Amino acid sequence: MPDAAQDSPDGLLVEALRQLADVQLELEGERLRRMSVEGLFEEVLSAMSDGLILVEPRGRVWRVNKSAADLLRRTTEEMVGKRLRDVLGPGVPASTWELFQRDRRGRLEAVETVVLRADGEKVPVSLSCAVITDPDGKVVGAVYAARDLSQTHRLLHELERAEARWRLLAEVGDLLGEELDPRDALPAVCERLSEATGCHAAVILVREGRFVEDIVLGPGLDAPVSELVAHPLPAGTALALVVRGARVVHAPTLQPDFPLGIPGWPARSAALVPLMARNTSLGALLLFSEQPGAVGEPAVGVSELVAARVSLALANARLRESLVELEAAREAAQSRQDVIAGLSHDMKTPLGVISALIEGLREDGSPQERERMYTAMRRQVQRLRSLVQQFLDYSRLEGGHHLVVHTQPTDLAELIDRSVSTWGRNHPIEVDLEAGLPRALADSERLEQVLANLLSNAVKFSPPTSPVAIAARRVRKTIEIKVTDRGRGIPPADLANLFEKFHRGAEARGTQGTGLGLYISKALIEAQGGAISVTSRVGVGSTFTVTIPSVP
Amino acid sequence: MTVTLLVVDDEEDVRLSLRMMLRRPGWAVSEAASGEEALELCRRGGVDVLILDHKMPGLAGIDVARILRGEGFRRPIILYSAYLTPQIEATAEELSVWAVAKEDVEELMDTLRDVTENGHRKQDDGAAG
Repeated sequence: MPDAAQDSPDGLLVEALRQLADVQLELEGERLRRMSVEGLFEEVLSAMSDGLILVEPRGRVWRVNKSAADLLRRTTEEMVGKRLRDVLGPGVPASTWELFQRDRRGRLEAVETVVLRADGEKVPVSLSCAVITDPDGKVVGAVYAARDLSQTHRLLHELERAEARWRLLAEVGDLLGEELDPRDALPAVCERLSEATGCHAAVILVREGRFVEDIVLGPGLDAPVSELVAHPLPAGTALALVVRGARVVHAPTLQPDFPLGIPGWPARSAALVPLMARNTSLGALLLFSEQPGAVGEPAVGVSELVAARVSLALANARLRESLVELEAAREAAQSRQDVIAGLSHDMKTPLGVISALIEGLREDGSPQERERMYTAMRRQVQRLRSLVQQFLDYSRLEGGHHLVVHTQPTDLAELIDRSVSTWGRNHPIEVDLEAGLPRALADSERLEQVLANLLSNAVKFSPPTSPVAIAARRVRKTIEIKVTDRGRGIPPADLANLFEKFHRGAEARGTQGTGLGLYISKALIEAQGGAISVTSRVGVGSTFTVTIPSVP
Repeated sequence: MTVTLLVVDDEEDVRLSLRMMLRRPGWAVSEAASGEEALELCRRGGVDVLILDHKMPGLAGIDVARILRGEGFRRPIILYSAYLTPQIEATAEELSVWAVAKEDVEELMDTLRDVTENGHRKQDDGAAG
């Protein structure tokens, strides 16, 4: 290629320029070689980014570079001739003797220490020192190299803070996750936040965006907060502003009369962070201190992270709650539908019996047969009426109403007699009435409805020949009626909720009934100022006890 | 020839009403108060048509039908109940059992006339197993 280049005028020019450049480089190398050692030394010093200080053996500053002047914020002139200790501050080996004291070779490498700037500010540095000797091995001084560590320290500090935040958040997450209801974890969360920030922490929970639901206090806090619960947030306070405005309020310094929202807390520094679930306000996280300026930016940052974590847990819990409520509502609707379907089915049997009897009456029959049929029809009409009554009672109770009763002096002997004649037709019933029983203050029709329910149950769950007993006696100002059967008894598990609606014990399987009888009976007896209860033993039988006020 | 109808129901008034309604020439009505009793009577023989309540203490009607079909009882069975559900009706169908709602006496009578006078049999071939 050079041959080809030399053939052209351009090639000649390039070659000439290259030779010229070589000459130039040669000249500059010569200049460097010709520089005095002193000049070169100055160049090297000023080129170093570390602060360099040369000292005489006894510790007086001899030379410093620009980086050292910048690091210490002093001029070179200020430093030269001074004792090293007056320049760097105490804690630095200030003479060659001290250097040898510290290290046999007179060398220290990368020792972390603090030096003082002209204005008294402390700067963390990495300091390296070495004794300087001449070619004969005689000590002529020492060199100190200081590297500014403040940037590194700042980064390390940031890292530590990030790690602490991360640890706090992880702990808060664990605390919230441990409880079935995250609200139960809030005292512990406040405690951790309080430890992490050195401030008081509290959580204010609201319902429907403004009613105080609960106030959870961190450690060392006390305030008459229960007065606030169930009331709207106090208007015109920082708390109300944060919850409604859904924004963070940070007030590093507060006047003592600042309307924080929680009376009795002398906050002189505070931050309030809203707790949000989607667009709904759940409350606020409050951080405060009696010391002005104590709640700083880092504390607010941490609080915001904790608030986000708490909000998430609360939102999830509310979602779970609403799902449970929805499920309960769905079940209630299903139950109502079951009752209506059950009652409709129950009506089919009496309807079928009545229809069949009407057909039967067309056929010839003896007067006795006809009488039996009329009696059966009356019974089935009564049964239909009672089913309709149950349906009405059930609707009233479901609508949250009480059952209406009309009490008046009632002869219980007569009433019990009537019930027994109905239910004792096909099953033995023993009657035991105390002599001279006072009259009851009762709704005779409704009381009879209850007795019919108890007697029919007793008969239904008794062996065919085992008698059912009904007894009545005076107990102080009431009359006590007991209906006892010797059936299989009610297992304890069923006994507890026997008077609940839709409750049908295991024994009731395969028999007709809506599960409303005892539920309505209880409401009816209570409406008459009485009470109903049950005792039972499996394998022995059950006793239902009704007490009803007697006429004074 | 007299056809014997067995009415099975735990309620006496139901048995009474059917006994009175079914007083027709050529029909004789006997009664059972439980599923267990009905099984005994059917096994003893002489039952031509079974009218069976479903919801009874002890053996339910559909279970009585299942047992009898299993034992080779090929006579007509009518499940006469206030508590028919699609599941029970499906089971009844499988067992070649008529299902009639309890308030519907006309349908009961029609079904009875079908099975006694016209000799109608419900998918009888598959039933006895």
